[in-house]
Amino acid sequence: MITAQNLSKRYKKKWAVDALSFSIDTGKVTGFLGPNGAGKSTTMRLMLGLDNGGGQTLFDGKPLCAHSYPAKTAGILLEAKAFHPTRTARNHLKVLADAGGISAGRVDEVLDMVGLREVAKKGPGKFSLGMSQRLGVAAAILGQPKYLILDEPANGLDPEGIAWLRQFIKDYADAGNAVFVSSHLLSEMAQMADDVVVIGRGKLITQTSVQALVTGSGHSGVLVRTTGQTQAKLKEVLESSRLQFTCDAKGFKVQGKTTDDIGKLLYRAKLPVLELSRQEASLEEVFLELTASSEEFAAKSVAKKGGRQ
Amino acid sequence: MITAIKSELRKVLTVRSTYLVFIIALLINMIVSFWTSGYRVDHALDTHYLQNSIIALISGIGFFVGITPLLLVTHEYRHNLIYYTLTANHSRTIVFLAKLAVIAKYALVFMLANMLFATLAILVGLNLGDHTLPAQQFEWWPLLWRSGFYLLAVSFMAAIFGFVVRNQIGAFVVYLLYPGTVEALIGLLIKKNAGYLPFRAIATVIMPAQGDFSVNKSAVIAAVWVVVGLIVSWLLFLKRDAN
Repeated sequence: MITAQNLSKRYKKKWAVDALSFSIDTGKVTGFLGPNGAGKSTTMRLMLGLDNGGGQTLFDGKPLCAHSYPAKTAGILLEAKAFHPTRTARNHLKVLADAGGISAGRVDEVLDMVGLREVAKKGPGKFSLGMSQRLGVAAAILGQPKYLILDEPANGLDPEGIAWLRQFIKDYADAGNAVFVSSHLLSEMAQMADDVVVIGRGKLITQTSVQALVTGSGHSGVLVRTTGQTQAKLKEVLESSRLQFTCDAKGFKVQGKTTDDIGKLLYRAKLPVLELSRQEASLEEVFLELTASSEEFAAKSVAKKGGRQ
Repeated sequence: MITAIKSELRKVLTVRSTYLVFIIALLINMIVSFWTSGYRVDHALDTHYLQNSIIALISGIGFFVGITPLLLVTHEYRHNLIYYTLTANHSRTIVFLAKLAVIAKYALVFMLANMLFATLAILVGLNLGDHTLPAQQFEWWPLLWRSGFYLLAVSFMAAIFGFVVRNQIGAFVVYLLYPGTVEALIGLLIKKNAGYLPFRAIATVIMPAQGDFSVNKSAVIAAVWVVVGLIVSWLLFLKRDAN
């Protein structure tokens, strides 16, 4: 387990990370979400001891640097282009293998795993962003670490690469490891993360499972659609049952109840039902709702009239 | 520590610039050795001719020895390799010491290679120029310690610039301008005390100039500068964020 305790980092008068605590379980993919400037990268750097700040992060009860071979405990990918442009991909990994006390034979194994064997003798300076990310992933898994900390690993990957990465991350976690991954691709995160840590302005907003986050959102509920003539009566029934609901063009969305509950209620009220279905909020909807007040660099919407405001 | 040294050594050996700089320095050394100290030599050759020529040539190519250490340090920041370097090792101090160990090793190999090829080039030049070299006497200890000290000190100073400035171009500009231009200007201001300046002291160890301090005193002054510089670099390396 990784335990981050009271992480803090201040740049002049501004807190980039403010008393942030959370934990990451093994066997799971934990997504790290937050708006731009929320402090995600700084948090990761603090966890790894790259930045000086307050708090501590324990990997199985001790700081990363206290492990015999830190590279065999935590693999990292913080920057896609973190390599010397003319040092070959293989030599780049050999340098890291030497530093981490990892056998040189592992280098070719990971190059095979990420599909870069054919370009192993080339300098990565001319690699595409996607290939660079793959090299970064290779570097992260070189020491077969129990923990992977990945900052935006899907950036620049093509759809095939993203699918590969998603499966790779899920398989890695399923093998009993922990993967802590930040990404702006919320649809991807929804597909691969088990838990999420959401931060805004350097503070923890929530840490929970993706399922609980989505289910508990106001955007989730049971959609009920009835005929135009019986809409008023449906509203009356829902109000009299003291249910929480919203109404829009699609119909009524009732929160906190199952389709069975609502079906029985409508049956008793003898209302015609055109649609009765469970509606789950998307992770994106929940994320935007959670971080609405934490957006530091939110763009203004384009004006409706010819782009002028 | 051994793993850190292995990694740092591989860093040096797997970039083109290391070989490029090494070969350029060697070529310049050999051409100058062959031509001015060998083929076209125009004065009487004494029994210490080879030793003095080698020392003069080592001092002439001192600038080149610092380039690789400077790049070893600043590549970390320019290419963000510092993330990997620091997270793969127990402590920043180990990384710092490993870099110094590799820099020292590089400086010594640089010295031995240049001494060997300078000697060969001088001998070939003298032979082709029909000059007769009297039997040579070598004072090995002064030759080796003064050359070694000079190249080590220059290498460490270049690394110090790298650790302090971190920006590769910035550190390179400082390394280009400080020893010659800036120290020369400061030397004009402080006159007699110019021997206390770091690069002046380092240079005096290998090529004592009239009016400067003795070789031993200059070596102590240079060593103090290098040690203080390394301590400052180490503290900054520990305290700064790795970016």
